[in-house]
Amino acid sequence: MSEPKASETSLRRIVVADDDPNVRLLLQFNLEAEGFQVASCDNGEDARDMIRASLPDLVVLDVMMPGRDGYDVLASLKGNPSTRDIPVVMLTAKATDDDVWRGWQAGADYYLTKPFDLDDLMSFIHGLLPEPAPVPST
Amino acid sequence: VVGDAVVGDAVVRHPLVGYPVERHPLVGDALVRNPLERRRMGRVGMRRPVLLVAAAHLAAATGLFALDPALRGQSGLAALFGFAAAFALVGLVPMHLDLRRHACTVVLTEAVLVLALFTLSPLTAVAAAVLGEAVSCLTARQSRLKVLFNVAATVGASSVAVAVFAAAPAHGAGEPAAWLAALAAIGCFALVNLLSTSTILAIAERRGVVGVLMASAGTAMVASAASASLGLATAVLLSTSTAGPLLLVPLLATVVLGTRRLARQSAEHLRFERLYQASSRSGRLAGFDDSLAALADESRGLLTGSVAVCLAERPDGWAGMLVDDTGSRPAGDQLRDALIALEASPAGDVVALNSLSRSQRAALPAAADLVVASSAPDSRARVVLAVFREIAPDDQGGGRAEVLSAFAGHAALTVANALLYEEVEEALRRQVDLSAQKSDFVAAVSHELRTPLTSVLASVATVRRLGDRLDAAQMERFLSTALQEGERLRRLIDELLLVAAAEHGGMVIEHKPVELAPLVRGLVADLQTKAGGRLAADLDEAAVVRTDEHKVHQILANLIENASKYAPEGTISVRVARRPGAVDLSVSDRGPGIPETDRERCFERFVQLDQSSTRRQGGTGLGLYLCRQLAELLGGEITLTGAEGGGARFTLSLPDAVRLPDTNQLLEGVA
Repeated sequence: MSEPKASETSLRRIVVADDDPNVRLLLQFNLEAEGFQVASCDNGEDARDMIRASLPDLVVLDVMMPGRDGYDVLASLKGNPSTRDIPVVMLTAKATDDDVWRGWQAGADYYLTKPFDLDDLMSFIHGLLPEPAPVPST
Repeated sequence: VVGDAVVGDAVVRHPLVGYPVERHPLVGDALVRNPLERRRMGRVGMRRPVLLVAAAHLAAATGLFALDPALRGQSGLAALFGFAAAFALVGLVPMHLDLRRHACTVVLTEAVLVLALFTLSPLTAVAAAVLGEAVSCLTARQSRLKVLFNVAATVGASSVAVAVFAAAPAHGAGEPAAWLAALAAIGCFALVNLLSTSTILAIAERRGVVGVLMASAGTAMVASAASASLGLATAVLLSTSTAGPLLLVPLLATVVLGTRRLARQSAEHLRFERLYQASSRSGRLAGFDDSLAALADESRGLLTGSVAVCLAERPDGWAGMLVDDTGSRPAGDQLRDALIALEASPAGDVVALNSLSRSQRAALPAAADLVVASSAPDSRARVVLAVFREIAPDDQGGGRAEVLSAFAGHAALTVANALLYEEVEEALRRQVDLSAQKSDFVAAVSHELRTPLTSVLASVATVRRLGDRLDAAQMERFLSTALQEGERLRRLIDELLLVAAAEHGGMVIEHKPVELAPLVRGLVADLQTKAGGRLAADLDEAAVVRTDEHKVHQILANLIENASKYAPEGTISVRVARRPGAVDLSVSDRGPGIPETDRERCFERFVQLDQSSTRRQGGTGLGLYLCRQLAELLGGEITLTGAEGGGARFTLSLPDAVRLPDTNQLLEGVA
């Protein structure tokens, strides 16, 4: 879990929750290369707390995580007025029709199945966050 | 006692309503056609309606005598007691008559009442009727409520009768005008009786009074008219000579004897008609307990019992359901054992409850009468039916046993069907479970394959996307992730194929004598480097097992690799030891061990107890599952216990330790 530094708070912030360390690292690396500030965690409980505390601009959420699963986290985000409008991209190896449908039902903005295309993911994320990251004067 | 018993043994003593329900043409035929209706009826509080109707009778009688002083004349005590005795006698000796379609029993109260009208003063006539009624009710051991009702009804109805007769202009037995008056009086008597009994029956059965009245009025009136005519004829003959009534004796004897048999046959017909209906209702497919409850309920209706029990034997022992007024519930163990201990015959038995020991009786519901029957020994299922009746035993017990015995035959079929149905349902459920497991497995495999593939593809894609911006260390990191995860994917595919082969019999097992010590020694030497030199072998050189060498090798290699992965420190000991009938090959580590609650779970597919460490170690979640599958294919088993020092010990036990060549040959011969 890496905490955002104070000097970077002007950047678009993304929370990545995935229990696979490889995926976490790859996402973090690629998203940072796109100019986002990334915080990551490996379980649902931490993901929810982190999102509630930092109110990021976007969330990338795995489904199969120890403890609270991704659907659970998604439902609690969408049920809370302060986090309801944060776009959520579900990124999961659960790929049956039922799983995808369940993700959409729970209010996911995108549901990507693993293995995923990094270029697709990046364009979805840019689509959900259309304006160029403003850099307010400090 | 009230409730069913009101119908069953008729609270009322109307000439037509004074006998157990299945012998009652009206109640039997029209009122309790459907035992299920009877069950719905449940326990109706009868005390209040009975008291109200009785009070109405008493009030009517009191009013009549208060209004008309002429009614209060009295006759001598001898006449009073003589007639009271006559009333009591006819009450106790019902006459059976066959009136066209209905057999019925007539109590000759009207006949005696006609004689009383001509002979006694009105008040004495009423007193004699009431006294006789009381005596006959008490002699028949009716409940207090019944006695009260019957006596009150007699007071009311006979008071109306004497008042009607007293109002007539002529009272001599020789005058036709008096005959008409007597018939009118008896008509009123019968009408009052019919109304009050119908009211009580309607309340007990929760039916409309009019319906009950219409069902019984015709036959009741015919029977009353016959009884009254007999009384009138006697009175007229008496007025000519005291020996005159003797002329009626041959006629009466013919009627009584001639119709008694008919009445009984008719009752029997009724019972079998009900048996047929009960069988067709209870034959529908249902679950086991539902079937037993339905059979008990039908038995209860068939014999108008208060409680009925249906026991049936299923593969895991006897089960039973009990049905009473409040509904159905499982029969208790004591009741079940007590009924089985009675060893009922297939022909059905009437059991005198007072012949049973105190402890036997304590296990049974309180009742006056018990009929039990079991299915025939050669029937498809063993069934015992028992019906407890609150009505005192009578001469129809044999008939009831016969009906219950016939129903037991049907019950055995129903139970056999229910068992079969349960079996089919269970098989279906297993099939559904199996196919659900299969699709769960496919979903899990998809998930497990996608996970490493994701890392491989994403690593490679990252290198291509950001290649020029990566330093050498980052590049190396992503490439090795791709390689590691690719390797994990390959192993997963290998193991999936092995699992598929082991599960679907695609695996060839070659049984031949295998010396275990050299096999394990070779394995330890191969894996020593991978395990960091921590392997220690403790071998019984003489252990030889008839098994598949390659499979044993696979299992042990897997166990040793697991131990070296998950127990990062400490010696890993591999042991081969003989015991009678089997050889144990165990792999023990000094790692953190596995909690007892997780020990069975770790042999399941894709169960990884500590996911982070599994992933780090490139585990697939199939290794131990595969080991267990292989061990089972070899006819052995694999177990997980705790090792000394808190580690885990996996033991592969293979049967048939073979050492001596002759035993070996012997076994080969057998194989």
